[in-house]
Amino acid sequence: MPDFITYMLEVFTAWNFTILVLGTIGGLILGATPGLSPTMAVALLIPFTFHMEPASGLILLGAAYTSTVAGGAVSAILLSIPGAPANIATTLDGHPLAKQGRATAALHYCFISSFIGGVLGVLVLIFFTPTLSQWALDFGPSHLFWVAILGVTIIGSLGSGSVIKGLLSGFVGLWISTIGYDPVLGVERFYYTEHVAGGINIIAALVGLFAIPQVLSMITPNKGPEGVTKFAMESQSILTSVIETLQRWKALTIGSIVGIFVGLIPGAGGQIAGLVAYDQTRKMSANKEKFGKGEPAGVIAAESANNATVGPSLVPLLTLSVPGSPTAAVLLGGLLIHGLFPGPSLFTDHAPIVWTFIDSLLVGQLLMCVFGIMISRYSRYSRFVMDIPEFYMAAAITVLAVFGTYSVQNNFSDVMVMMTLGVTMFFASKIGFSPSPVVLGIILGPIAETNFLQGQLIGSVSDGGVFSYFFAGPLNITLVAIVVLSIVYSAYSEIKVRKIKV
Amino acid sequence: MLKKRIIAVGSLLLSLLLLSLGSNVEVGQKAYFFPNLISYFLIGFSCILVIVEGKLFSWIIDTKNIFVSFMFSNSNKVDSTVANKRYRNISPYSSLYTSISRAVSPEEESLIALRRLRDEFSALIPMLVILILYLNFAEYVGLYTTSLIAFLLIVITYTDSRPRSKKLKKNIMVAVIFIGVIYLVFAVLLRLQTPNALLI
Repeated sequence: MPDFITYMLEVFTAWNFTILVLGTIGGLILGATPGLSPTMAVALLIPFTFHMEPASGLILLGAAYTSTVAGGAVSAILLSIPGAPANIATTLDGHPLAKQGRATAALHYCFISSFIGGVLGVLVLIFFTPTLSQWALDFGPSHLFWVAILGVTIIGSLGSGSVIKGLLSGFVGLWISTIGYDPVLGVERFYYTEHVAGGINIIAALVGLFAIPQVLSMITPNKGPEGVTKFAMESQSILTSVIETLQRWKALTIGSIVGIFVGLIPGAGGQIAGLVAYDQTRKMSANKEKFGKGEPAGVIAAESANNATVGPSLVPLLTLSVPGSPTAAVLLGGLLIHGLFPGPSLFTDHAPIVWTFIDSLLVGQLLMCVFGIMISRYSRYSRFVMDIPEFYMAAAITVLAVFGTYSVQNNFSDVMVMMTLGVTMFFASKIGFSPSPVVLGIILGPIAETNFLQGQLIGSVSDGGVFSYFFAGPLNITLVAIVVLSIVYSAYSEIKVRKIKV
Repeated sequence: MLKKRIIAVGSLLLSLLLLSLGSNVEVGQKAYFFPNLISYFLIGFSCILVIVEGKLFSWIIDTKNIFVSFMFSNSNKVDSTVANKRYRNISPYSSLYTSISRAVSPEEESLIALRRLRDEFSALIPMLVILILYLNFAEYVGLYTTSLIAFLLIVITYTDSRPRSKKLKKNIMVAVIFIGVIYLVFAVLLRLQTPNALLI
């Protein structure tokens, strides 16, 4: 019997299912709240999972990841404010639909297409991951070192506005990860204050880098659009919505396929998937002129694409430690605090935990659809969540970030580190640096350093020497080539965009 | 341009600082090999940033122009016609000001960005003060008490209702309820050990 069926029942134990339901509902609410991105929501939840069993903790994070992406569509459709970057494309046709008095229908399309895209994405995760992880069994220290560097360079170059700034951020993250004990000699490095004794805690870094900059930007003046229009909600049967969604099978297929491919590319994420799928669907549609004016196919393509990225973004994460999106990078932190190191051994040593987590993603898609449709029915009440003033949000997230970080090790130094990193990141983001590469650098730093030092030892006693150990062999060459290609391609694209702007 | 140059030079200085932190150590020099290797990469990336975004070459040309203008306008020994032939774009006396302003004066775009940054920073000052006080007093006064005060202070400072006292009762109620929920979750459910302090 396939593993994912064997462990399916684990999802339905009373505790795990309760966690899954709570995570889904909470994620939908957090996603619908403008300003709360999926990445920040998952980062804020990680400290809570520290007190849970690994499987339950991962179920909570997975449910929050899935449903925040879908929940972001609620505010995108009703307020024209994307709840998350992944929902930008949804606003293009979702809000015009709502203005035409078809808000309920738009929300139904969104959750049904998210469900279909999401399920297809998780199926890719289920069938691709074990194969890839078997392949990763052949990896030695030099390969694992390059994989870690690949993760940092890909997120740095593809996931940031500027290639060079992305790389700088990623390498600063790698440097920060070296604060604390050296993995081989045990020497305590960069011990200038007692707050960094023992190194930088991953959760403190995650919460600080993702939550605090958003808190600070919430209270800075003139950001959001003003004059939100309010409109009445119509009633539409779910069956009609399902039929209407399936009638747009072309948009659904394009969205899901684009989402799956974009999700597999490390660093790309739901925002790119949504926009690419929307654009492709519009280009292939016979009614191009209707797009942007309330075309259901636009909502269906965008939403199926952004939710289809969730499963595939975990494929490189679980097999090679290379996250497919910033939220997946935060999930990597969630895995590491439970002592689960991504790679081939994950599926042999911790099979029950990993398969329960993956199965929960599948069940979570259905719950997301069910609760999402329920939210659409009561969306006049869900406006309450979306209308919460930002100063309340800022105060609440600040306190939650402090308690969440403190609760991990009962150490106030972690809170200091979290706040320092967060405030610094806020100012760095003002000059074009993004937090995702820094976080990935901090998370992948120990993996890169340990494997680099091991490779150095192996290389120094082998015939070819250290250089040959790291640069010879087909796998090393392939990985180095991908690192170089990702940087060169991103730099080329950036130069092209600049030339167009000029 | 000025903003980009400052960012580029700033990252170069930061990279050099990180390298010096890992180089000037008394114990366990070997343990600093990896962080120093990263610092070298950081220096490399910063240099690219200085060249590409900081427009290093135009900066060098500007500096050269300033230098040449300065030299030829102050020296009687140099034949200015020869100098003008050699550096056609430079008119010794008038170009000095132009060259300096080209090199150091911020463009309109940078000025707007700087102004926006200044406005945002002034809006942030109260928040930063609240955060500093919150974190420094939490360990001595009590985590829940200081959290309640910090929550209230943030809400009162950034509320959009004027006068601020208008919704004070509502804000106090929201703060008490929120910290109550936090207490329930962390103290009762998760049994979190908070630092020993004067209050809870």
